[in-house]
Amino acid sequence: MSTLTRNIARSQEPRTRRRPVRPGKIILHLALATCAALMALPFLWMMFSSFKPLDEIFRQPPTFLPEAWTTGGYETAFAGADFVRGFWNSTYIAVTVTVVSLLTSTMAAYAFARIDFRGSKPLFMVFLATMMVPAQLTIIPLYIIMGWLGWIDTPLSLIMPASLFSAFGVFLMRQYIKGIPLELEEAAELDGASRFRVFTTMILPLLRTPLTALGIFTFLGQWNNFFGPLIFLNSDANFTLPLLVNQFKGQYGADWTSLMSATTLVAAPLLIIFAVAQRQIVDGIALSGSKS
Amino acid sequence: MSDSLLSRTVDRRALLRTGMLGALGLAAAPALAACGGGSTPGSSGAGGSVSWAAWANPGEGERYKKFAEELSKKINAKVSFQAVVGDYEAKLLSQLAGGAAPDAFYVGDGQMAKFIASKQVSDLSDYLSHGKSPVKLDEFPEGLYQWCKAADGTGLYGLPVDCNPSVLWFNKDVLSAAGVSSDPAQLFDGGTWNFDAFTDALDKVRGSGKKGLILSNWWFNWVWAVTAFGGKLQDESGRIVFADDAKAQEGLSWLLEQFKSGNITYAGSLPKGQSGDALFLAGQLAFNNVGRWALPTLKTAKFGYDIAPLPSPTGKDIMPVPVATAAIALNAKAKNREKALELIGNYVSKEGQQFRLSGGGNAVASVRGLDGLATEGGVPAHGKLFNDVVAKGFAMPNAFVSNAKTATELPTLVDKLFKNPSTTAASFSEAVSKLVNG
Amino acid sequence: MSLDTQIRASADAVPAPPRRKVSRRHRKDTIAALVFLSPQLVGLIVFMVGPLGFALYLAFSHWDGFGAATFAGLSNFTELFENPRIQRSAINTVWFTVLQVPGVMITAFLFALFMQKAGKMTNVYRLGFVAPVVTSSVAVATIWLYLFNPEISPINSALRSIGIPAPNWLQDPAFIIPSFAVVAIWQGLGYQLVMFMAGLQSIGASYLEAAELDGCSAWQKLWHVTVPLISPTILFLSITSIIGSFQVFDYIYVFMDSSAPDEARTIVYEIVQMAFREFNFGAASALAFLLFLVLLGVTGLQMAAQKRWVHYAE
Repeated sequence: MSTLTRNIARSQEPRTRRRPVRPGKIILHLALATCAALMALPFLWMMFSSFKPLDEIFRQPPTFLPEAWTTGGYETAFAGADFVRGFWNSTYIAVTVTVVSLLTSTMAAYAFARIDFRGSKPLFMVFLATMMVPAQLTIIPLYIIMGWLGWIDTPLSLIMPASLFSAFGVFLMRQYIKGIPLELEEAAELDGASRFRVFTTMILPLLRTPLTALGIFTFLGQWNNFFGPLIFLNSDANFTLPLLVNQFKGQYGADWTSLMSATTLVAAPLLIIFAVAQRQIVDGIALSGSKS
Repeated sequence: MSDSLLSRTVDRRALLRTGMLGALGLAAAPALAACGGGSTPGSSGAGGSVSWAAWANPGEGERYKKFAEELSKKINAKVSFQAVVGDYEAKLLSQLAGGAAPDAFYVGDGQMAKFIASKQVSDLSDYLSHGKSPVKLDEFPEGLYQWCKAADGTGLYGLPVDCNPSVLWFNKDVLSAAGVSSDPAQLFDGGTWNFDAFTDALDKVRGSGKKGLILSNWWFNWVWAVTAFGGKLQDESGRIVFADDAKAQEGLSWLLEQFKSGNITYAGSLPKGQSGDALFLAGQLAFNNVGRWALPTLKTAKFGYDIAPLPSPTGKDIMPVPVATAAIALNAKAKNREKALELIGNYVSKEGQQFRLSGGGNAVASVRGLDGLATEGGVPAHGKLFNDVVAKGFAMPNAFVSNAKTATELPTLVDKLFKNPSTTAASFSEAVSKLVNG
Repeated sequence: MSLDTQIRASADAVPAPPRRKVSRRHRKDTIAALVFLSPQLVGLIVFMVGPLGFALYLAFSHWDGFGAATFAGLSNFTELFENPRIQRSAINTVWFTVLQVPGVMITAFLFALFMQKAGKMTNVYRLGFVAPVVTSSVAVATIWLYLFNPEISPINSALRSIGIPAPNWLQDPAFIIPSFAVVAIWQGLGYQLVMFMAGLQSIGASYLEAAELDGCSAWQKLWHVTVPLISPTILFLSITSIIGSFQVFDYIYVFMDSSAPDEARTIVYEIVQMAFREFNFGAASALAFLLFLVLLGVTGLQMAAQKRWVHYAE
């Protein structure tokens, strides 16, 4: 590997980047646009259905765009659940977890990727091993622990475990840190820079792209988390959005228009956040692109 | 407190042995400050506080909270409601294990036997026979609460909160387009709503290219084939006996024939109540075999609809058919037992049900004397039939849920049998009896 | 001058560091490692060790969720081996994983490659691919129950119109697991796409351009430059998605509720059924323990094999 990289690095020369547009490009764009549209179709169907009256949601043959636009579903959704409150609860939990867990898991990942300490490999396997037990089975003892800590029916029961432990995040960031060439760090260390300085001034900036990706998916995972809030939260003032949405499912039959509206309400902010955050990824590209 | 929480759930030393030590050490300090995790914030009234948990849609949740407010004044205690909006069993089990379950909670028919056997819920019979109780056992139709008794038939560990009888909703437009001249409700009024009439309607609908009826593996959807034909489901001891009953066999054969001919479609295992809902709302389905819970969504439908009871051999009777119900039970470790009993009593009393169910339109009262609820608003036109069906109906047969394993296996077995084209009434009965009678 | 060249330049300027002196340095390293690991270690000890130990303990106990647990020896395990349904669930789980994991990884990788070339439009396309990821499971179930309903499914009408017999997705035993895999691929694609793109973007264009100058074909570039450079991402995704896929549960539950037929059941579905509906926490934990051993083995193999194909920077 190293020889290959070095050969490449050596053979690298400045030259013109612009190329003429090939017909292949047009086919590429057509294919990607079609696939992206197909992938998004169920989401779009959900979104448009949320503006349909109930009888139109189930009409045969189905309509895609609403024939008779209505916001009735949104009205009943807002009347039936405190979405403003839920929005705040979800945001508060998801943002806190994302920020704290990005930091703690990158720190741990750095230790696993860069520090040669005894027990590093077995401990890392322990981290991986925690992912291999289904969460449903550990929920009862976890509930008891939350009871001891006095965190039942508080956001802490959701924030703390996710912020302080993420085998997934540690693993992902470890992979990326191991992909960063060592030389610069070693030089800095010889110059007397502390591990902490190396971590904050060299490693973290290079991880912008993967951190953004991990951040997006951590946020998303928290935003859509259903099982944890269901078990740990009791008062509806503390409910997160997925709990509010699920109310419309009912024990026997769903309230379809409200359900469609509520799910759209929950999903739409995520797409907006993603649309904004992916610019970060693009900036990250520019950064890491110039790296090589 | 935290120690007793632990020893209540599992043997403490065993836990320590298995590595809980770290967690325990770290958790000990804050645990002293707050034990159990209160679910009822705010100050309590003179009588303390009391809470109950149930599943609820937003409309119900709103009602229940109002009910809690009203009841707080009445019983002089702070009453609060916990809505569980998903996997109810997982939540309740976690709470019970953590010693943080509400004083009273809903129990579904599949879990009751286990909760009684493991002493998680308390016997309510004493309270009910008590002069102070706002509700008496004889107000409930007898068929509705048998499943709340212990395995030996004693005690009463839960009270039905409301109920939903198995009826046939029908789409008038689909039926008339298929050439069914008088609708099932009219036929019933005229005393000719028998299984021939039903088969005839299903034939015609199939001929018109629409679907007749879609059924799932839920007991609510098929047990009526035994009982509506006049067959005997269980004997006095509760054993399932329809394998030896000629009328029951006739009914099951009829059902299997309808599956074969395509008059009735078997939908497989789907989430409760979702088998036919979408198609019925789309106007593609003539009949939907669901409870009153279908009403709120149907109110916006653009087609004419009504209900009829399941047919009877005579064409004019209402036969005993399944009634879906859930019960409210008393947590055996309720912190406020006395108020919890008052909560339960007031919850299922006539007054309580009137308050909870009016305007909601998705259930039928589980006590007699509240017939007005089912006919509220005049829709569906034959709404009073809900009451008649409940009066004759029966809730989950004990044998189906006598143990938790049977309760989960039965729908799976029925699914397998219905999908197998070589299933006969006899083989179906034999397999089901074998599972539920042990 | 690019950052990377700087890195290399500085690395050339300084002589390679001498082989580390083990003892003193080691202690310092251990302390540093502890500091960096400490928040996650606290989380591991407080929230994971106890519950996992408890589950392990239950695997060898009888416990119904209430009261005291009693020692069961290996009886939970013999119970599992005598249950023919577990075998079927295991096969279903493996079948699902075989369909889903390569399915989603290959498609995501290919799309990520193509998207690299899509310029500004990448952002728009990527939104489309990510839409399923942000759609909640309630909505996913609603939409797919509709799409899988043979009576009204637009997929089925489309298939019929071009003369292909339309399957009864969720009822035909041969189609149930593939149907779940389709939904899982559809929903997991966006996530892996973003991960692959993040990996690809860390490579930087100049490596590929350099390879091109060396006369590499597109295929050689892909095989000898791109794949090795994103191999850490591939390893990460294959390990985590196999673990996730072996634990599939949601789809079966939202599509079939608690009475799924044998042909649709997976291991974790059985675990949840046994624990929360049949109050048999012992057998459920024993099954989870077996699943754990299998996953540990599979992951261990992947970690051991990585030396052969995963390339980290030096």
